[in-house]
Amino acid sequence: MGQVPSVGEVYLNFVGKRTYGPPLFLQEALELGFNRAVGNRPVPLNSYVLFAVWDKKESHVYALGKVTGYSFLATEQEIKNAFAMLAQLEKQLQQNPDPQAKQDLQKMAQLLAKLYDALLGAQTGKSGDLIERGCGEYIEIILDYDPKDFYELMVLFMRYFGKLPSITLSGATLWPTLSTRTTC
Amino acid sequence: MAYTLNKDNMLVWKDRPFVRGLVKVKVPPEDWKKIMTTWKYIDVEWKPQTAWLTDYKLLKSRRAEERKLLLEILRDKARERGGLDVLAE
Repeated sequence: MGQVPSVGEVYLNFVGKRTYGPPLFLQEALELGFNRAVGNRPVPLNSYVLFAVWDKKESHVYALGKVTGYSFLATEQEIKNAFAMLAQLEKQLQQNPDPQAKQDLQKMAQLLAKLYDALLGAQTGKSGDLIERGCGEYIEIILDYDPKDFYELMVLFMRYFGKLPSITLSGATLWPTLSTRTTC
Repeated sequence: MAYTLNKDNMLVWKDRPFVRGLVKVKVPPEDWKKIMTTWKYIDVEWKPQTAWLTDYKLLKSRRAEERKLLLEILRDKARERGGLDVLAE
């Protein structure tokens, strides 16, 4: 085994035992990579995630993964909604100008526009694949978008809106992944 | 990725009840040591990328037969790619 992962952050994530116990989770994660809901918490690249099951008495930790990318569920409308949130913030800033906030707003707009372009590019390039996963099925499109930009966008959104936009967290899903691809 | 399916080698955390999402934790040195000495380690390097998912269907429950079928599909894929068969352990 490699070095002790002393650098970087470590997170704990519970895997539902009833429908998604350790063997199924591992079989799927090893084949397709893991993908977990993170809630309203931006998780940095290169963080570690420990996976556990809870048996109503104690937690049993059985796997460790490394975050190397992100995936999310979204529609074009949700991305447009995020733009609308930025416009709303811009209105507020006009009344109470803050240089740092204006700079952040500009950065968010840039990152979001870049994300939208990446999405359109992927759609027109027909790069989607249908992938069967443990929690259902979905079409996954790999975007030409730097995960570091994605993380920065998440952090800025959290700072100004107190939550992640639905483009990055819809239902259960902005997932840090071992593989970058992936589930529930 | 590192893992174990042996219950004796799992870390047992009595003060960590179930929560949704991710919780930031500090892992004691003795637990890291246990991971390093008793877990299996797979050095998988994946290229960082960002994925967009659509037409996603979250199944609230899954029947045993569906789970079994899924496991078989994933196992066959793993075998084709020369990967690990966790179920065989």
